[in-house]
Amino acid sequence: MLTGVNLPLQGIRVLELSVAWAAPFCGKNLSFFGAEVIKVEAPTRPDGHRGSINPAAGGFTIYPNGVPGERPWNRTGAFAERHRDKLGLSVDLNASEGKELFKRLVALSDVVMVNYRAGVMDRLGLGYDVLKQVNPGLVMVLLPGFGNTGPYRDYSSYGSNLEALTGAAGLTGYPDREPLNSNLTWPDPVVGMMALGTIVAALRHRSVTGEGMLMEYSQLEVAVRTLGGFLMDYSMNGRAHHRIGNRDPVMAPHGVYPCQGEDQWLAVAVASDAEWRALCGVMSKPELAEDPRFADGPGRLRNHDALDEIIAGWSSAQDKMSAFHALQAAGVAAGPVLAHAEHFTDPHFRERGFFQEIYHPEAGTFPFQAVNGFKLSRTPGRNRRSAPLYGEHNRYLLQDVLGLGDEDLAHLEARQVISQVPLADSPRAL
Amino acid sequence: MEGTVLDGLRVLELSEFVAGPFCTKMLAEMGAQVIKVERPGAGDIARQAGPFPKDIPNAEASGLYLYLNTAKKSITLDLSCSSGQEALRRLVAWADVLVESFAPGEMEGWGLGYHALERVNPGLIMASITPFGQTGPYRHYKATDLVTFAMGGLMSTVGDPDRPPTKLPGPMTSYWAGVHTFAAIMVALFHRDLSGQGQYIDTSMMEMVGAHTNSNYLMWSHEGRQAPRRGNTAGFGGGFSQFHTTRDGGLIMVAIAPWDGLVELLGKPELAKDPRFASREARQQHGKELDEYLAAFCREHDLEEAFQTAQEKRLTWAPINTLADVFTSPQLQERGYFFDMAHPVVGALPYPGSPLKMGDAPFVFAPAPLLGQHNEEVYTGLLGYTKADLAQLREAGVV
Repeated sequence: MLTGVNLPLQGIRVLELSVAWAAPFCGKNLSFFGAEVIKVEAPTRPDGHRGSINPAAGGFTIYPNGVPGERPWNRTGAFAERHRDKLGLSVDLNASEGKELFKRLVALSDVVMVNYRAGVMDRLGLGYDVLKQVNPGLVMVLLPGFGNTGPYRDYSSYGSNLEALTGAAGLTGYPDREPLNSNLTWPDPVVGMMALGTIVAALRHRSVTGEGMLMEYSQLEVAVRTLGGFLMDYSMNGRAHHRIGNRDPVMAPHGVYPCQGEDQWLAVAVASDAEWRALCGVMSKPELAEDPRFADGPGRLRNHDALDEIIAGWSSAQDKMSAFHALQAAGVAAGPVLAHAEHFTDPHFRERGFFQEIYHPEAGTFPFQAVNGFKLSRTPGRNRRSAPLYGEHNRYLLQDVLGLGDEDLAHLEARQVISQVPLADSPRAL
Repeated sequence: MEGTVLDGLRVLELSEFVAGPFCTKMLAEMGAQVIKVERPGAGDIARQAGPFPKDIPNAEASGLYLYLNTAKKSITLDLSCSSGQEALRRLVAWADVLVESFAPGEMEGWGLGYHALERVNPGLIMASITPFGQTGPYRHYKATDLVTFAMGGLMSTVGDPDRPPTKLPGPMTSYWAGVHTFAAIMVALFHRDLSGQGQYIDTSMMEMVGAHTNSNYLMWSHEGRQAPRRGNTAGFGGGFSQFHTTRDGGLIMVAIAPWDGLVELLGKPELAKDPRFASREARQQHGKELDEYLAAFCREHDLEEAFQTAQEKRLTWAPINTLADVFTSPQLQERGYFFDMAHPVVGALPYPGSPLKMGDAPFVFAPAPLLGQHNEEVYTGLLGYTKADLAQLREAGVV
């Protein structure tokens, strides 16, 4: 039903059984490149990012202009962002009729991606052993927090507690304060992007061998890999690093410095003596370049506190954007700390088309991040439509694809196997 | 299933430090043949970065290099001279994928830009990883991870409100860029399988950080609010503190959903009827009061016990691990995540392993190469140079 040029994954159908963000981030990108991604939700367990079905006043869920509206589950910003371009199917996989419908869709799909807790699909009777009978070429991807084995396999996890478990939270923040959580659940998009790559690799493998496969992830183990240098120091020397704020073990000065205005900052990272002299030049402090305390990297590292004071004294009177351009012109790696609001008017993002306005029938038109970390020259992919309303594509998927009749649908709806509205709050509403 | 998933894929890496090497490490693990091209003499800067065993610098013993370059071959080649450029064109004719991270324009300056290399190999997939991408007003600007964290928006919301914006540990945006580029290469290969066409991939770390933190755009676009720095506080208006100290002095991360699970865990059934906590929104607004219950519970339980019992109630709690805890994690231990591998200079060390299984397909782990270890094999075996040619290239400092 969706057509377009330069969409390399066109013709690939994906069933996404997801919560939170890791698998949704992957699914969004699969659809960006042309796959038909079907977000499956249960009538009594709508996706947590749809918010409460009756949100209380003073809510924390993001709605257009703060207004939940009549069908708030169709209007949240988080669902609109995370499930863009997907189709929406509501079906109860606990019900035997729901399982049957799901299997019939699996037979017509290429990928089933699941980031429920380990073992959930087996308990539903929809594990890989069952689904591969239905579709031998199926690529099934399980993305539990901890993997399908080990003492934590049944534990629940989000990106946030993975930050704690990987050691990353312990390494974030200042030595005199407690560790910091990023509040950004950064492991989710990392896992999601890696899943995108490996799913496509598995599809290529299938075209060569004709065989599908079961892929099993541990999100914890994906996130741990991003701490490679720290891990190797422990591995080699038994050294467990401590948090050092914005400093660096080698580069100095290395930090963010206050600028004119409230909560305005400039990041500066000096990697060589030449860059240090350039920084002194931009600060109009040629005498500093001669100061023996700061003559080389080890000296600047030892005297970092003094350096910070000198640079902050200069930066406080600077506009962060002017200082950024001046330092870059002199060959120093520097950049303003940009708030997300500033990205909407940033000339670089503007020229590269980072944002795109997307119309949503119940939420209106808003700009969304439209470019990922990479651009492909021949097959750029694109955003084609807004996130699905709850159960929006039940009719397309069950009638046009599976061939059920009006009466069948009415029957399923009466038995709450499918639904056009969520029937309960998700116990995991985020 | 026999063979690796990327059996036969040929990859050329002209990159250093973390982003490009992490990308091609994943390709090598999945079975691709990766030839890493390093500068004659010094090689990849990760060789100087350490950590080193006993902190003694040694270009063949840098932990960062050893980790990021497993199962690759290393050759040395000077791309700035014409004989070096000729050798690279021969390598490009061999390769399916090329990953580089020079500043925009540098490869073009050597006559090795995508349009030149595409003529050598029309099916080539070439990926460039840079801080800002190949176009736009910042494209020629320099950055380290600190700068991409700052400009990508992430730092503005990380940290305590009374402290400066804060970065995440180490060169993490570089690792992320490796993952993004890996995914992009797979999509490009899928297209090439169908069409025979190669293409060019432009990875921008600033944009990637924006994409990774895109929830914060919604607050601005939908409600006109800027996401604040809020330390470890959950939610945006006086929410509860996510970190608490346990009886044995540990630090634990707490969560309050599902609410009925928390009420059970705390052993305070009266909270279920307390109007202050009657809805998700109410619990956020009364987070400070909730803090007292959470702190009291943690004070009365040891870390491991609090973690286990909370998880039994489906509460997403976790210990704030140190790196030592990561190495001894019972979860990672039981799964055999860290595995020992011997390297000719450094000896046997534990390395982090693969985080996934792909059917029965094996993953490939082999020690990182010595600088130029495969010069002989690649120049004379693969590219057809004679031993005399190679000697000449060495003499001239090209190899």
